[in-house]
Amino acid sequence: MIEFEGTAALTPEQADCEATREAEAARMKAAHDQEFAAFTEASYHQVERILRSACRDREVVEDALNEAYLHGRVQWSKLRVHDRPIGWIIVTARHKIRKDRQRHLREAAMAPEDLPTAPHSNIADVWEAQELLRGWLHRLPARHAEVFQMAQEGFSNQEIARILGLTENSVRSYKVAARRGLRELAEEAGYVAPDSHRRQGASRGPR
Amino acid sequence: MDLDDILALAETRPSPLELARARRVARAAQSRHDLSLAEGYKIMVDTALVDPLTWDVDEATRVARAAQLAKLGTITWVAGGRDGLGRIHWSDEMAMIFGQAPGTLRLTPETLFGLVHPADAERVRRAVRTAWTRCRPGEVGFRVVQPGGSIRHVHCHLEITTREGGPSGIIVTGEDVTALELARQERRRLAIRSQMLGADLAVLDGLTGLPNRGYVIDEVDRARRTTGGALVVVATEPATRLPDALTDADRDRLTASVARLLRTVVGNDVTAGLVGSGLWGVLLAPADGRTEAAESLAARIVETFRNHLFGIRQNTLRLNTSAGVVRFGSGVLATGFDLLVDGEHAARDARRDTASVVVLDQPVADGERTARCRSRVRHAVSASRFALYAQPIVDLNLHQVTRHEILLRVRSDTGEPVAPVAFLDMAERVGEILAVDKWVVHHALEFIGRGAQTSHYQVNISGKSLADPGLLTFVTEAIDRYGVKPERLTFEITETALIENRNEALAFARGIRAAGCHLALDDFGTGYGALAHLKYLPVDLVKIDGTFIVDLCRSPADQAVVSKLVELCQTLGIRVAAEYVQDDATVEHLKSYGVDFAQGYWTGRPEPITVSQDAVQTVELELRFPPQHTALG
Repeated sequence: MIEFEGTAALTPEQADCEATREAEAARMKAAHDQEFAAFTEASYHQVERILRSACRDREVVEDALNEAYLHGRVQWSKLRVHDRPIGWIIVTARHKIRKDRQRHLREAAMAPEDLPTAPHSNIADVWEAQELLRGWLHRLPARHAEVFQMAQEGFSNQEIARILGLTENSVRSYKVAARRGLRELAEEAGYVAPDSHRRQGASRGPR
Repeated sequence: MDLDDILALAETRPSPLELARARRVARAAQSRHDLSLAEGYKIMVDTALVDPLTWDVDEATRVARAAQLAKLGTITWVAGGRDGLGRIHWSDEMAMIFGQAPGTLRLTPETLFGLVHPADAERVRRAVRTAWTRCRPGEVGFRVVQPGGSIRHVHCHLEITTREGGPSGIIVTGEDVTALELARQERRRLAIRSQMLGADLAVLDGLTGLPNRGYVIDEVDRARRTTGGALVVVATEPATRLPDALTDADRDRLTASVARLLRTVVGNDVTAGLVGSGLWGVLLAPADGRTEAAESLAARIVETFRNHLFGIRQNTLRLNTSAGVVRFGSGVLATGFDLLVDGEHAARDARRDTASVVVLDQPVADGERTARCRSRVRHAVSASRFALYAQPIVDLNLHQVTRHEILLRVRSDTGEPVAPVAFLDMAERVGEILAVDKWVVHHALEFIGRGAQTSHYQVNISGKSLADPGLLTFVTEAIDRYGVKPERLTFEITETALIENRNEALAFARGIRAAGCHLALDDFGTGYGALAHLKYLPVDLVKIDGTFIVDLCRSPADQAVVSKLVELCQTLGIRVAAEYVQDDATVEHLKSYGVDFAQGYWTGRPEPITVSQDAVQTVELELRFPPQHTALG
């Protein structure tokens, strides 16, 4: 009887409204789905590169990315109005990595000095260049590596400071320090600019 | 190609792989999201939904908030204020890192630095000052002393906050890294340990590279406790008397070539070692899976050795060779040493009977063996089958020879003086070493007393002999009899055997020093020479065992042992000598550590000295000590 009353209460107009709302919601969801897919495709490689610049464990990064993007999808309706939703994704993924690390105390088990240095090879393609660079970044302090990689991905100092929770003054310093560190590592591995070679040669040559 | 080229190459649009991963992640997120909607559960999102890029707060708050999310503690210091000291504030997490209840402490820079470990406080101050004055971030690791006194390791990042274009304060982000720090220290320790851990040089004979007597005895001992087996002892002896012109080095070369030949006969998998002068031990355990019986192996070795012409200087030389074989079952009572002696005796019997090999099917009865050993020692003493040698010792401060060690050589059956290691080992084990020591003291003091006594003489006495209450009287009487200046004598206690009776040893040590002589500990650092001896024995000199010296230039572990031992001895008022010194580089090391004396081939090889009363010789001839120019090369 209650059922009957309930059904009777539904006026055609209301039903119409409901249907419109549902259709609207479905269209909205489809639009968000599409938006989110596009956002993921455009942002994923950047987030991945940034996270992997400071975290050695690839699986941990993958897990963090999966979770961050899932949460991103869940909250997409709010994220989509952010300046750059990628910022929130990075913050969330970094948070996840940190939790993971605290759970497993990974850093205690694996320290930088134990890791072999990247083997020297001829850089033939993009992938090798990235791997080499990543090997060097892992030997820098984590903050320097992350700041540097974010700058490489085109983030401004202010954006980097806000996403990583640093002061802008630090970001400027870390960027310079990271570049200096990388240059040292590159030279150590034998990647020296040709003109600096020439300079050395000139100083040794006849006067 | 340089860094910029690599950066340019690495900085690209997403690769197809990255795009594929992106699509996979997007799809996974989408489908899990859809599933949650369809099944009506909520996926919890624990990150605040604030847009990090537009959140409008001051820098310090923003950094502190990020740190809090990361479970890090923060200290915020804002410059300025009425007193010019600024305001300082810490987060609850940071208070807890310092072991303080949140909100109980009124924080000033001084109270804060007061909580840091005193040894680190200055460094922390400097780090903060540097960061502030140079206006750039820094980091510092330090220890904090918590109220209960426990110490934690903390690591902090220092960052400069900016307001209206100028530096406005410092924000410190930090965490307790005690676990990480301990793990790091342990890793470092393990690295040092593995770097310092050297091969056990003491088991290898320096000359031949074969295992030495101690090692072979241990291996035989192991075999008799487990599988049983057979021990072959090969005795070699020059068939003709070696020309007197031969030096020690020539003899060493001969020994080395015998060792090489032995290796080629028995192969590399068998335990074979130099167990005495002209004595070689080969252990065959059934577990080795060798089909060849011990007897035929022994015969083969003898055959090969007898037929081989050894080159020495420009001459060739044959070796009279014989072998003894002892078989032993598993669990026999005879020790490794006993079996080795049995093998040696069997080899001697073979030589006496001009046979090649004598085989014992079981070890000799204990009583018989001991009796034979004793009679050998006694016979050697009564027949004076010994010779005394002297090796120069250089005072490294004066860079000249000021001392000599009197060394014993045992004459073999052919009258050849050989190193007494095996003989002394046997004499010590059957309790006959006292007679040998007395012979040495008697003849050495007689020799010294007849000379001009211009050097300082070091005479060896076994740690075992010290147990004899009559030894002290014997020595003091000999000193008086031969008119030796006691201050020119040092007695070296060799500790291949344990000091048997502490009380007697102490009585001897005190008595001998009361008489004016000095006391030294020989072969210190190996064997039984305990550090406790340095405390209670009135020792004047410690001679560091040669195993620490031979590789000194290359081994950081040896360097550590020697330098610290010197430091210890200097603190205790004991002088230090190094044995087995072979080259100038080693001497430089020893000098830098403050070692007082050096002895070894660098100072000169042992040279014979004449002690026989029967041969009437002039005093000048008797005093034929090694000349100093050879000592200093």
